Amino acid sequence: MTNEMALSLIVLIPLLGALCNGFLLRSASVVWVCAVSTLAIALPFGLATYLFFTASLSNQVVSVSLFPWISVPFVDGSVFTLSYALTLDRLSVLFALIITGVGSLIHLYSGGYMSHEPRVYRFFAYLNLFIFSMLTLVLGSNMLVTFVGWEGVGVCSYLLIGYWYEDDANSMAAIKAFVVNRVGDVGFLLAMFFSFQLFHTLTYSEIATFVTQAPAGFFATHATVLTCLGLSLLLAVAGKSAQIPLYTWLPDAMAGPTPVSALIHAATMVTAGIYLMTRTSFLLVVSPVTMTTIACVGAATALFSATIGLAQTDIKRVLAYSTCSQLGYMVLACGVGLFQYGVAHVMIHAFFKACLFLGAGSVIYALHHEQDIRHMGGLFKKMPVTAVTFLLATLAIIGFPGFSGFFSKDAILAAAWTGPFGHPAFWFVGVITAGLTAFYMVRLTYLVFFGECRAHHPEQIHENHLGMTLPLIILAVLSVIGGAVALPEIWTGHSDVISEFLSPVLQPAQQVLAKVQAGHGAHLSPAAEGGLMGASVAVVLLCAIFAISVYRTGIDGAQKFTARIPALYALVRDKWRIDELYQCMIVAPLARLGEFFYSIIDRHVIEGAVNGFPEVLYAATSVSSDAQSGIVRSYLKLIFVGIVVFGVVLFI
Amino acid sequence: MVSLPEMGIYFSLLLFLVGLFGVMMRKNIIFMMLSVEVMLNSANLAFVSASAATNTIDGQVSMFFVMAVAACEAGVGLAMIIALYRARATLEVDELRILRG
Repeated sequence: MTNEMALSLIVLIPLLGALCNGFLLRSASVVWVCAVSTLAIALPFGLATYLFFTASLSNQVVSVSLFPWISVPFVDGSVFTLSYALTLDRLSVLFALIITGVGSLIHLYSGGYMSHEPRVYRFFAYLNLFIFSMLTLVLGSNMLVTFVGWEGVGVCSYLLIGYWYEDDANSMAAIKAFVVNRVGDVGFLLAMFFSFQLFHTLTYSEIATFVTQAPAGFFATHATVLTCLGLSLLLAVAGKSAQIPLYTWLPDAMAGPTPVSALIHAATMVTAGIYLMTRTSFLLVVSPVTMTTIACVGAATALFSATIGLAQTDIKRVLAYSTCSQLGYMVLACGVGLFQYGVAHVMIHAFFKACLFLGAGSVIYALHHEQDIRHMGGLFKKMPVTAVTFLLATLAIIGFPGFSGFFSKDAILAAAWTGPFGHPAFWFVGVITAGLTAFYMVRLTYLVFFGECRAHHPEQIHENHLGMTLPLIILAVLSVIGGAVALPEIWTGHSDVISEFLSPVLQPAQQVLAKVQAGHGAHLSPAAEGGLMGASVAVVLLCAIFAISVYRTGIDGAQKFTARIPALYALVRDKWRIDELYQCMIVAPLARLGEFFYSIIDRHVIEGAVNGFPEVLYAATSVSSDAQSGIVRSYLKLIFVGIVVFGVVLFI
Repeated sequence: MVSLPEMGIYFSLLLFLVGLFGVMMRKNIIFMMLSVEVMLNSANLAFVSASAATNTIDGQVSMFFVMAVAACEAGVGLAMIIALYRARATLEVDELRILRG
């Protein structure tokens, strides 16, 4: 099999799986549906692994053009052509591996989690369609193919959040996610317009060639457009990766089934923004304004959503806000110019966050859809596998030394200080966020798995079967050892694996950065870097121990702190009331505008025109139809009058 | 002094108007048919008078055609009136308004 064929199959097999599930397996049992859809993701994972070893390790780029797509002739005689092409380089192979690898585990898990649902084929068809869209997103050769995947994941996310559509709240959450994502899509469209205006192409490799060969003056003359381009991309990223100000959809997206939360809203879709920024890194680094804005947005989101996570009581919402927060870290890493650590954190975060979500799903499933952590507790003995894997993933996310999250988070924190666009303030925000993360994740784990059991029916709780625990075990192992890709330089003496691996992808950005001579990060001595690392570890450990000491007495342990600041606590518990702010600042005026358009423009102008035309016709025809009275004698009189008139006219 | 054919023409005009107003004014279908017959016969009279005035035979030939057609028309018309009466139990033409638009 040629590499090109393998690349096409990676994208096509999940599509085939979706069609097969959607049309052929409508009445099949959940075992068959799950087997087919898992296979439709596992096969591409095998192919991606094959391509990883045959092509990507030797830095070979595989490209395949599936069909010519758009061809527009211009007035000056040139023709703009764009083909539906796929490209697999080192960045996309990494994402493809994450998507199909974590994806197939989650498909396997869904077979258990969704086993009691009616019409389960719909769920698996959407899941496969989602994987197809996501693979299109990361494998597209040009911005337009990426945009197809970008929209596709948005649609699948909408379908899956609203999977239990009988409930109004779920439908509203799905609509919210879709609409907020559309706001970000506007940014993507604008970015495409800007890049077409500047480079007359949308293909990434051509843009990269253009910017690396452009004279330094090019960047100075087009500085404004390039900054606008970067900020448009940031808007797109904020929509998809749930950054301030567009993050509000992600916590609500937890209305979907838990495997969806794990797959889409933690491991894959939300990382599309990080992929896009890394892919277009050479366009972002030319503008220090853009880079600083990205870093600020990332840092602000990391800190802000971590504070909300402190006071949530829904197990999935805590994880959702921690996802926002971790995505903030990744965006921060991209914003300071060290994109490879953002990608490393994407991968490691995919492992531990998928493990956390699937563990939460396992708990929710065992407790018959109970999601409130106030009604959990003491599950360690009842669900040992879930508890141990959840604990390992928690240690990974808080950055406990030696676990995967420690390495990627530490790399990001170091990058926030020393990166080309770094600043000590970013490091400071990152460390505070790490402390908050440690607090709320330890709080969550402790309240769910330790202490006394507060469940309604403790005797019914038992560990789930192997189909659900096997993915947990695999993901837990990965979230322990995944940090190997980002072993810091001060430990090993040479640069880390991920930087080496992604250096060809980030090469254009380096060249552009050297050309525009922007961004001079501080350089730290190994000793100072070790000191920073020690400081962050100390903060994390202190916060973790503090969390345990607070909640050791049970769920009410925090009351002696919250009672002193009731207003602030209520504000944090209500998510800083940002949703309410958006509601009255944006949604309500828009609704009023819509009401105006509906009641005035639509009801009177448009409906008036549409209904008025037949009314005029009807009035006109009723005059002539009234003449047809059916009274023969009046017809005769009319004939007589007609003849007389005719005769008069004829003879005069 | 008005000649006889000329008087026939005037009389036929009078007859035609009598028939025409009969058709327009009467409500009973049978009387309307009678009025139509009067109009046909006024036309016959006009044909004959014209024939006498011009000393040709064409008008008299036409008169025989009209008489034949009038006989057929009376037969068919009366048959239809009987059928109509059986169907609608009335001969009032104003009641028969199924062609109303």
